[in-house]
Amino acid sequence: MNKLQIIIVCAGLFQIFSQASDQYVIQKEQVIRKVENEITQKQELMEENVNSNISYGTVYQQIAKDTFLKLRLNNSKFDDNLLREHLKRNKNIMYNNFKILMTNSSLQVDDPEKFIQPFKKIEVLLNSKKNIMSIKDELISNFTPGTGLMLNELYAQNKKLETSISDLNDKHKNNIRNKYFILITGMICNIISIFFVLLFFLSILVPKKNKKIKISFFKN
Amino acid sequence: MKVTNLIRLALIILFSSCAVATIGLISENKISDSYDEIEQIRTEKKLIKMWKLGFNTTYADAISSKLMDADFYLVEQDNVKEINRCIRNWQIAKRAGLFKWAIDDYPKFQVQKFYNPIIFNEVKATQEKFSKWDKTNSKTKPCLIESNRVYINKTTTTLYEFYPFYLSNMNKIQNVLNEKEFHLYQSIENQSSKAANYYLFTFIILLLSTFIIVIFDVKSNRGQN
Repeated sequence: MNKLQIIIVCAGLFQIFSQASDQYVIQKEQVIRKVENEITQKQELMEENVNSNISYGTVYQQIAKDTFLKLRLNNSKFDDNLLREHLKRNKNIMYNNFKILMTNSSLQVDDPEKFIQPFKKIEVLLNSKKNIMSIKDELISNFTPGTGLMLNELYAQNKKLETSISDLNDKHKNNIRNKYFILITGMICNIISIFFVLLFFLSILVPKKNKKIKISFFKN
Repeated sequence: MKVTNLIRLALIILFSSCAVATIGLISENKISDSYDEIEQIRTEKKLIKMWKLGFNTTYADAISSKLMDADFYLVEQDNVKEINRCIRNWQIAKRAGLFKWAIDDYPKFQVQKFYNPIIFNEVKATQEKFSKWDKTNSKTKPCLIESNRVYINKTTTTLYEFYPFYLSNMNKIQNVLNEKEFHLYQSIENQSSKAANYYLFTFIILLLSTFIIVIFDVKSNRGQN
C-alpha cells in the first residue's frame, strides 16, 4: 500500500469509528428513554401514595382521637349502648374511607385482606355482649394502629420507591455521562476522518503545484 | 469487481440506508405522538388530583363536624340542641360550595362512562337551592324554625353523601387514565426498540458502504497519475 492508500484507509477507519459512536448514542438514547419513563411512573406512584396517605390519614387522625377519648375519658353521658353506637359509627367511617382508597388501582397493595382484619375484629368486639369498657384496650389497639395500618404500608412503599428512584437516577446519570462522552469521541473521530480526507487531497494537489512551480521556474 | 460496479453497489446501499432510517423516523414520530397523549392524560390527572384533594379536605372537615355535633348534642340543653345541630349542619352544607365547580368541571374529563346524571343533577340542584336559601337566610336566624331545620338536615345528608361517591368516581376515572397511560408507555417501549433496531440496521448498511467506498478508493489507485 502506498501513502495515499494508507491515508484513505485511515479516513475510512475513523469514519467507521464516528458512525459506531453515533450508533452507540442512538441506542443509548433508547435506554435513557426507558429509564426516564420508569422514573416518571415511579414518581407518580410515590405522589399518589403521599396523596392517599394525606387523605386517609386526615380522617384516621380524627377517628383515632375520638375513639381514644371516648374510651378513656370519664363521661357520665355515655352509657354502654351509646358508646357502642358511636364506635360503630367511627368504624364505618374508617371502613368507608378504606373502601374509597381501595378503588384507586394505582396503589399497589399486595394483600388488602390484612388491612380489613382490624375492622372485622372491631365488628366482632362491638357485637359481643361484653361491656365496652372491659374490652376498651383491645378496641383502642384495633382502632390505633389497626385501622391505620394502611398508612404504614404506604409509607413503607414510598421508602422502597425512594431507593428505587434514587438507583434509577444514578443509572440515568451514568447513561447520560457515557452518552456525551461517546458523542464527543464520535465527533473527534469524524474530525480526524475529515482531516485525513483533506490530507489526501493535499497530497494530490501539492505535487501538482510543485510541478507547476518547476515548470514556471524553467520558463523563467 | 470493477470500480464502477462498486460505486453502484455503494449507491444502492446508501439509498436503502436512507429508507431504513426513514422507517426509524416514522417510529420516532409515533413515540412523539404517544408522549403528547401521555401529556394530555397527565394534565387531566392533575385536575382529578386537585378535585380529590379538595374533596378529601372538605370531607374530613365534614366528618370532624359530624363527630363534634354528635358529642355536643349529648351535652347541650334540650331547648337548644336541635337549633345548634341545625347550625352545625348549615356550616357543613356551606362548605360544600365546591360541588358546583366540580360538577361543572366533569365534562372536561375524556372518560365520561362513570357519569351518573341522576345523582349529579340531584346534587347540583340541591346545592343551588341551598345557595339561594343561604343568601336569603344568612342575616336571619333560620334554625329557629322547624321547617328550616328539616330542610337543612335533609340537604346536609344529600351533600355529605356525595363526598365518598365523588371520590370513588374520581378514582374510577383515574384508573382508566392510568391504564391508558400504561399502554402508551408500553407502546413507546415497543416503538423505541423497533426504532433502535432500524437504526442499528442503518448503521450496518452505512458500515458496509463506508467499507466499499474505502475499497474502491484504494483499488482506484487515485492520485497516482
